[in-house]
Amino acid sequence: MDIETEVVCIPHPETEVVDPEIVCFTLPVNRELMPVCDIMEEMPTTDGDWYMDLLHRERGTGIHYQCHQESKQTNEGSQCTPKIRDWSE
Amino acid sequence: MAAYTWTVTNPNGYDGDMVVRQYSSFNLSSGNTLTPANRARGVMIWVDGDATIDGTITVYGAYGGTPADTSWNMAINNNSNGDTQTFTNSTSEWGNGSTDANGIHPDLTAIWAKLPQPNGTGKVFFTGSNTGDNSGGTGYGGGATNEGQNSNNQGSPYAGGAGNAGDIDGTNSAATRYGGQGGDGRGGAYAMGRGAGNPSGSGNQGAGDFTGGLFVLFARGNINGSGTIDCSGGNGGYAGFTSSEVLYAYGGGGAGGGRIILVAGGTISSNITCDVNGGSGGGRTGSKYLTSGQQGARGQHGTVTKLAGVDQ
Repeated sequence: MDIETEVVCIPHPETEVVDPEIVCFTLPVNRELMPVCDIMEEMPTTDGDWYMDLLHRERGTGIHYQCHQESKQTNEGSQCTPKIRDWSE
Repeated sequence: MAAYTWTVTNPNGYDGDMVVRQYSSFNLSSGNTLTPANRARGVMIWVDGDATIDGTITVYGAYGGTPADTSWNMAINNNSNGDTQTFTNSTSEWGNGSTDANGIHPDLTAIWAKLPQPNGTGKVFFTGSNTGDNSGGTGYGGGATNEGQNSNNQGSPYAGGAGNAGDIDGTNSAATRYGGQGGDGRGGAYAMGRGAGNPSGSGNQGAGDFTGGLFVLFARGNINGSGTIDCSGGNGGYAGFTSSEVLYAYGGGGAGGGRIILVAGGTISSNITCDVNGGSGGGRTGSKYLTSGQQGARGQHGTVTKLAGVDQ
């Protein structure tokens, strides 16, 4: 099963200026097929939310902080390794 | 240079009867190769004199479904070397008399009668699949990201375990237990490497179509030479680019190594290379949202046992 993706471009969610930076990134057309970490409790609702999740995951901040720390200790970090979630459960 | 094969009875894809042979002497010259003509549930050779291995013997694992017996033991008298394990070589051991040894029961029974004693005290040889390297038997296959090693990676007495595929959504990423097919890979935005096995899984990208096998050699005389016995496991598949931007990529798991047992009334050459290494984990292409790690795990190593100067 291949995944159809699209490039989305949005104003950077962290900027609050009149002329914000535009960031572009790739998401599955069906957002439910975007892999997430185990610690994620709810599916992001906007593309801005998705971008921030990716940003926090990369930085090891926000809800990703704890597993980021654990992964540095154990070199495992499985709960930080994204997987497609069945959001209907 | 010659490529020799042992005929395998009841060949069936990645399965076949154990190869059992008796020779008055055995000599595989340098540059020559010898392997079963089909996958087989192990190779067992009995040599009345010396055995010389200067060429390469390759034995890969077979997949025969759920084994009738996952733990095989066989023993030989060896009091003079201090081995004191009590044993009885019954017809239910070493696959003998079970469906695992389909077709070879008469051969083994005849060979059994040649041992100095069918019971007593000595050295017990085990083959089966345990977790961990050099665990006494064959090795488990390797896990992969989000599909860590578990019971599906277990092998059998005559095969190392298969490897999992990288898992992004839980579909067909697990290996088939007892040394069967490796987990399936996939391409596209989520590149997942195949697991190695008998055979490897489908999809992106190729992994080894084998796990380590079982090779047993009993020689009344010496085991000489400087050749190779290869019972290694296959490598996990690389999670590669196929047709679209890769967002996530996880490598596939390697297959478990096999089991080698060499027993001699005389000496055993230390120059013979016995390879029971598990296959390496598959690598992965760069991916947009994961910058490091995510390589598949290697298969666990099998076990080599050498016992020289046994009682005769």
